[in-house]
Amino acid sequence: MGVRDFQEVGRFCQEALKCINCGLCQGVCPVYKTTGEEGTSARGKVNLIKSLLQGELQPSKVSTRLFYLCLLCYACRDACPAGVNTERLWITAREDMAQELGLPLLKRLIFRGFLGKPRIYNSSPRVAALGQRILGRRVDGLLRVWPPFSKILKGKEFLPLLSFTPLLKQLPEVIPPVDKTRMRVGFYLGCLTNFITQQIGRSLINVLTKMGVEVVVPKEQLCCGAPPFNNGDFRTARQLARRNIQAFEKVSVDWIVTGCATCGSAFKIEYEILLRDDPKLKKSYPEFKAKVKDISEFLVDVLGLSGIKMKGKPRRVAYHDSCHLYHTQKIIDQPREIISSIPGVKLVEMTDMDRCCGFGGSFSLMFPGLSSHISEYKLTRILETDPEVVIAGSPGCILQIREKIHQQGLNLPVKHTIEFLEENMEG
Amino acid sequence: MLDKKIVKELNKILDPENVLTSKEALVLYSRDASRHHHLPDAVVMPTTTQGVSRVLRLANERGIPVTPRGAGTNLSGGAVPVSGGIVMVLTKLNKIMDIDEESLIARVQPGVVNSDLQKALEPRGLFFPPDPASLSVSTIGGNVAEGAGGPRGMKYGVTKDYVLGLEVVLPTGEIIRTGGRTVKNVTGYDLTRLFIGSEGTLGVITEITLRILPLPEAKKTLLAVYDDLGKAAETVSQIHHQGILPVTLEIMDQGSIRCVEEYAKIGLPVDAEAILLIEVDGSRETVEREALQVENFCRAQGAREVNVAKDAKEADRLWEARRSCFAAMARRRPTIIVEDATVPRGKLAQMMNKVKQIAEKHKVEICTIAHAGDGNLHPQIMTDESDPEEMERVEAAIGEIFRETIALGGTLSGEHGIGLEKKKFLKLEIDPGAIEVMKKIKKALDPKNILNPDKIWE
Repeated sequence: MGVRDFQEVGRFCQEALKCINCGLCQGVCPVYKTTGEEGTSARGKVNLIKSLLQGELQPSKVSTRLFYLCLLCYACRDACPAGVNTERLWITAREDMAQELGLPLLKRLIFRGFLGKPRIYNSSPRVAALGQRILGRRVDGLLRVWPPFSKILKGKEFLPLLSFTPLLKQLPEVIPPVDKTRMRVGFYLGCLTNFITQQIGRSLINVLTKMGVEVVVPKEQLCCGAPPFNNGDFRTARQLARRNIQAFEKVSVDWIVTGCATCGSAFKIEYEILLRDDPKLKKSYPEFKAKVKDISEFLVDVLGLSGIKMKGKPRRVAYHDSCHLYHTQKIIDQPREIISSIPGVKLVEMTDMDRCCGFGGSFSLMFPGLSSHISEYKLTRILETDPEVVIAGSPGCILQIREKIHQQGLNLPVKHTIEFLEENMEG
Repeated sequence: MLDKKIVKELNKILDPENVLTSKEALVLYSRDASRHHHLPDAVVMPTTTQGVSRVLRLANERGIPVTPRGAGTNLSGGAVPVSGGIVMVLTKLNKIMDIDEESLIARVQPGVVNSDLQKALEPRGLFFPPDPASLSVSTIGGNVAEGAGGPRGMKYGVTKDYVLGLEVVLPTGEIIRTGGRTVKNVTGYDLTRLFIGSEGTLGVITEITLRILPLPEAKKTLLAVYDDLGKAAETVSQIHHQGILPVTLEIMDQGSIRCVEEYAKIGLPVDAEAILLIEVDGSRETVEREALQVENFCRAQGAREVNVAKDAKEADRLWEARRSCFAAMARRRPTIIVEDATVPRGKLAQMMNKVKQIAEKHKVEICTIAHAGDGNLHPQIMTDESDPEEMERVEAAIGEIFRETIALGGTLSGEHGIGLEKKKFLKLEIDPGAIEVMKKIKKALDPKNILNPDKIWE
């Protein structure tokens, strides 16, 4: 097996060759810091890829597992002196492994049987939501799983709580602004906001309409494709990408806004890798990409945070930088500007604010023990700043940190930047 | 691949999860940060001193080579298992055992990352001076085995000046303790110093007792720009006459300045022949006074510009150039070789000029940065290891650099170790009698030559 057999990784093998083996990636990798094992560091994975490309190694469960033992937080890319674009390597390796060894049944079911099927995607949650509630007890937007079920789930104590009706079904197609229309913006929800953290979606719409923005919610939107993409199912991911781009193409909007950092990241970066050679989307993808903004980016860079009146009381807050805002989209200052614009609020920066919370999407389900360990580190750093509220810019992080807080029996609210802003708006 | 029976025995000694024999694991542990690589036959990750001891005993009985490894960021090939056998990874022995603030002692396991120790000490108003560039990833065990240095070496010394005692497992499996918990200790032979810098060839270090210092109150950073390399070097060799011992005294040559500017675009003076990055630390008053003295001295020595950082943010900016060196040079060509020639401080300018001449002669691209305060040069060679013709010229240049270093009374390795990289040059520096003594010691402790064989000498 040579380069020709690893189509996806092979395209990016130049990246692997850039690696100079210095090992500095180990200093920022949350997984390596927990395990101390070379295979979990970026350097280790690059060496595996080099060996696979050279035929020194054959695809196997061992290397596949190591490619998955990664949060895709991309801290390594930022720390790499040689500038290896690691985000292109791990995921394409997963895709090539999936091609060689096949995708596990459960993943095939979820990606191809659920996410990739629009009708099922939009209608199934009711049954799942009901079924889920048998598994445990409701606690603050989470489900605390009964111990016997927890054992089956490899020790996972909490699951996110599914809502009965997807938010997409509850929202009208167009939501007019409170006053004059400044602009028309498309809203992309993302699965977590659609099925679980619905309040984030409502807050986002509420804030935007108060700021003179007409919000358009294309009903044909589906999962952004990050889960299948990150798990080596490029086929489903491409289908979803095309569908989403077309859904937003049909409505004429000035911008496309999302409250989920992972989805925004997928649109800006992962789609670039997926749709590189797609003739149908050669023109529409760049147009789509240019319009995509994370909500915090939109509020600060496009709206200039103008048109809202804030009220506030003295409060200490902590802000956790989601990997998909900090490392991939480089959205670092905007959320802080929003937070500091609220009177009375004091943001105390935590040590390692950009260290991953340990969620990593499917990572938390595949490696719950490790995920828990990493989020424990994050919570310790958060608590050091003694906050009254924890703020983060992505539903995944919010669920993860919330889970850890409950696991430790603490009482500390975790909110999305947009939820926190809405709470402190006049009117 | 290791014999199945031996793997079975390893699985009895250690948790089977920590015994790795897959081809993937062998590939992963075949490299460190040098350009050398070789597959081992197995990888073990012990979690206790007992585990280390039992594995070594087994390996010694059967004559299986064992290569100890920390984070694997060694630049001279010390962690590469060139004789195959077992790679013994020490990263899972990673506890800070205790910090005795009254006695200024810290006791750590070898897998503790240098910067993690720093982070644990700082809130207590303490610090561990040795600060190798790899501190965010390299382990204390590795630092001790290689005798690591760092920019703070000029004022504070290096790793070997801070180790009070060790727990070591010998190649034959016995566990011994060396030194103690006191700064002054002349009881018996100084075995601690024997193991420091022994590059994992005399024993596996399983516990380290370190001397720590109180954290100075303040620090000030300055950047001085020179049109003349000689004048910059003279500043370095004369500064102590001012009664000042800076914490850090880093020099970047013109090549480095240009390389960094091309990459980072931060407005560096690309026409300057040298930049000096200087730091002084101590009490707030002393630091203010010394910084002013240093500034004036640099100008008197011919610096055309001196920037003094007013706060931590500005200091960070001044350090950016020096910090970006590695990244800038690593991106220029596919391969980067970082050398480690050290000369007496007074010969710094001479050596830097020599390196430049050698580079031109062999048509090889070399930029030099140095821990100027202790004459520790790091010529960084930017090349492409897939080009055999160029590599021949690179090897010739490296050889000449080392011969010049020794001719000036210097040493082959200031802080990176000999490992594989400099084996063939050892006899240029160490006389045959001394090498014989080293070999005798090695034979006495490791009669079957199983511990990291084929390193240091040929």
